[in-house]
Amino acid sequence: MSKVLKYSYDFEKGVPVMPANASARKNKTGTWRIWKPEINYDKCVKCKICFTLCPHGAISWKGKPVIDYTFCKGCLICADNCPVKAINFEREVK
Amino acid sequence: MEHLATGNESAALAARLARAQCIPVYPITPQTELIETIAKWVANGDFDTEFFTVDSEHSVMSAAVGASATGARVFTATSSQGLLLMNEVLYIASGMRLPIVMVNVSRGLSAPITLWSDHDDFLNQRGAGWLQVHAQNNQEVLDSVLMAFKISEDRRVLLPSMVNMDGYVLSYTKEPLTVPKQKDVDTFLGKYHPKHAYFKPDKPLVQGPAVLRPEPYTYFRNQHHQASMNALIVMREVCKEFKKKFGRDYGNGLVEEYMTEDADIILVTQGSISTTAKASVNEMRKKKKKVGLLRLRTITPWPERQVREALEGARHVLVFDKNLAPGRGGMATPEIKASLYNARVEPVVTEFIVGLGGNPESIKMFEHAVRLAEHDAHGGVYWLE
Amino acid sequence: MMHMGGCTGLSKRKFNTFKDVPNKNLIEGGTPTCPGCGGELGLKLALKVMGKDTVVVNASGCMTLLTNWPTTPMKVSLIHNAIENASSTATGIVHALKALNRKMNVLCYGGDGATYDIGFQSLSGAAARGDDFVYVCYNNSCYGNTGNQWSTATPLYARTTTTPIGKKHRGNPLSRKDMAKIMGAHGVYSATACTAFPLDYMRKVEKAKKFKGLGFIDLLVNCPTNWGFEARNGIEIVKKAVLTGIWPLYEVEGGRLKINYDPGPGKFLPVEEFLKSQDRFKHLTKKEIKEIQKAVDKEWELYRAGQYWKTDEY
Repeated sequence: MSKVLKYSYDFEKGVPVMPANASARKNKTGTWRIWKPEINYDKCVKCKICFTLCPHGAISWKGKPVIDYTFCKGCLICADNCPVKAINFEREVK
Repeated sequence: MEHLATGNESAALAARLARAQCIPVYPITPQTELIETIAKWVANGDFDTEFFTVDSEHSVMSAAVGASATGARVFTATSSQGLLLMNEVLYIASGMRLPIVMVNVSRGLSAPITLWSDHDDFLNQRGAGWLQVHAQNNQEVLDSVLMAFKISEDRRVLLPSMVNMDGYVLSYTKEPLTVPKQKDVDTFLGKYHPKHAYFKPDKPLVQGPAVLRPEPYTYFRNQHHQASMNALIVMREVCKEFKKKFGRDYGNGLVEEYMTEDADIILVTQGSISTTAKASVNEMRKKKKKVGLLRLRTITPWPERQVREALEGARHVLVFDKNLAPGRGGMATPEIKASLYNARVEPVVTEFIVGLGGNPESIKMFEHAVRLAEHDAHGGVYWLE
Repeated sequence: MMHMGGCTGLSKRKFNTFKDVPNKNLIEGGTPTCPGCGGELGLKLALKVMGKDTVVVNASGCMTLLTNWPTTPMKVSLIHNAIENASSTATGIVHALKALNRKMNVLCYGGDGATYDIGFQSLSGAAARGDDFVYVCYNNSCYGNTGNQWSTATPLYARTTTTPIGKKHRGNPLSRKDMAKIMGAHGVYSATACTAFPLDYMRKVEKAKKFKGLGFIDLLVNCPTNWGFEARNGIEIVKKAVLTGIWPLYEVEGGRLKINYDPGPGKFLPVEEFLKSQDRFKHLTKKEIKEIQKAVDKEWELYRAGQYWKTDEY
């Protein structure tokens, strides 16, 4: 269907500028996952390496590492680099 | 305050009066004297601004974008090859809605290389989304730069401005200049306090983001176009205000009509050749010829209604294009013809390619053009000198 | 075996252990980058060092698509101009901040294509002018966002889409350019880094930030999509680039070059350890691998003999 476009001039909305307020949080990249990493807190020595190396900021540090599965893409860099192998992973998609 | 100043000095004075905060530059003939003048003032402590030379004109406009996006008032200047080199960033500056003011000292384009003036350089930037104004003498250069800051920073516009002056003929020629007082310019312009584009520690913004969706992309382009059309109104307002405050006016800010009310034959010019053309009109009027002149002052946005209303009464319109798009002809003539498309009566339009590479015009040349036009019933093209 | 936390040859300063890594993230989730993207990791870590009062100047490349109308993962200011003018834009921002009397840090973040090739002029100009900002080049040794085309950062014999393997030609016939040394010759702080050594990288960003003038970091990043490996192995693979001597870690300060990691003659791992794990080197013959090994050995001979620069170590 075709339509004629009519916009009114808007000084605020018409300029391509956006606030840096992490609005990308509405993109649920967790749905990309094939493998799901899980932290075994009994083995975790709280070295902070997984938190530092997560490329997508899906691991936050709350005294211990916490994976946010809304955003975790399942790259498994955390699991591969944990010095005590405290992160297990399972195939989420069959 | 009466001065004798070259076009370059006039533009530099305007930047200083406007209290431009960031001035990135790169030298190119015939603009070099402009940046040298500012450099001397900065070295003496007479002008408190961030003046710096960068590695190319592309970097000049990139630095201007960065500085204006941070929230500073930005001024710069360039010419022909430099303007073309920064072409890519011109679109970025206008798309980001940054009110940068740039003086372009027009000079013909390579190849073949020349240093003398013609209008190819800025007329090839008509699609870049800038506001473009063409000055006819040094006083108008100074006044136009001051007005450009006010027009560009207006909420209804928020677009960069280009003030054009012809190289050598204006840029290096001393003319009498009335310089406005600093405090009058301060009240006329005020300070630049952007609400739409800035970098402040407590209010993080993302500027120039990717817009990979067609609907919002179209929306932003439409807003840009509307802002440019708003400038037709804002320019007239600012010109009126300027006349009230400083006593000088330039037609209605968009076009200047000289003896066109009863004219059968109207010459259309822009830039410094207009003053010679006006002298020629005076001569021809003495010989009882009903000749007039329309000077195009605003090139973008195109003042279609003003052009049509000025020209529709005439029998014959002579457009003097001091530029060339090879394979198409002069660049102003098609736009004049398009503006006359819905006129009450369509005059015959004859195209004259003149003044390329600094080829000088003369009173006799305009008289010759009128004689040629009188025998040209179908609107041909002539190359004249 | 080298622990990724430290390198020999670096003095103690902030970011000595992983405990020192700040907890706050200035770039959050929901990004469109490939899983395991080293470029995003580099940006995340750089922002932890630069802090929240930062303007990021992004050169066109993979990171440009982090922000796509109407969403952005950024929590600090960002400007995107074009591919080749990140440094010039940063110059303008630095001067405007001075004119407006505002204190903010400026971080340029551009890929190797945007930095080594098209953006070289503006980068060199900014370094020569003494403009005070940090430039981090996230180096995946190709034009990544357009799908793995050759750049002057691409190493010898790598397969890219513009240097493909065919009957007549086999991959990239040229060695890569050494950008960190070129920038070091400008008299500014210049260093190489690697995402496998995040603390070393963060210390270098801190040094670049403190340096009065341009601070340049050439960061080797893991790029699973273009190099051809499983995302989870990314950090191990770029670590091997350092441990084989293919990616020397060094800093140039005040005209002196300082090697950060050298295990000694004959102690580097064989280059095959790095090359065999990636699809883009899968086609290499034994002869080509030997050639690469010889080139790496020769380079380290020059480093150890102090031939490359006035070196501190030798």
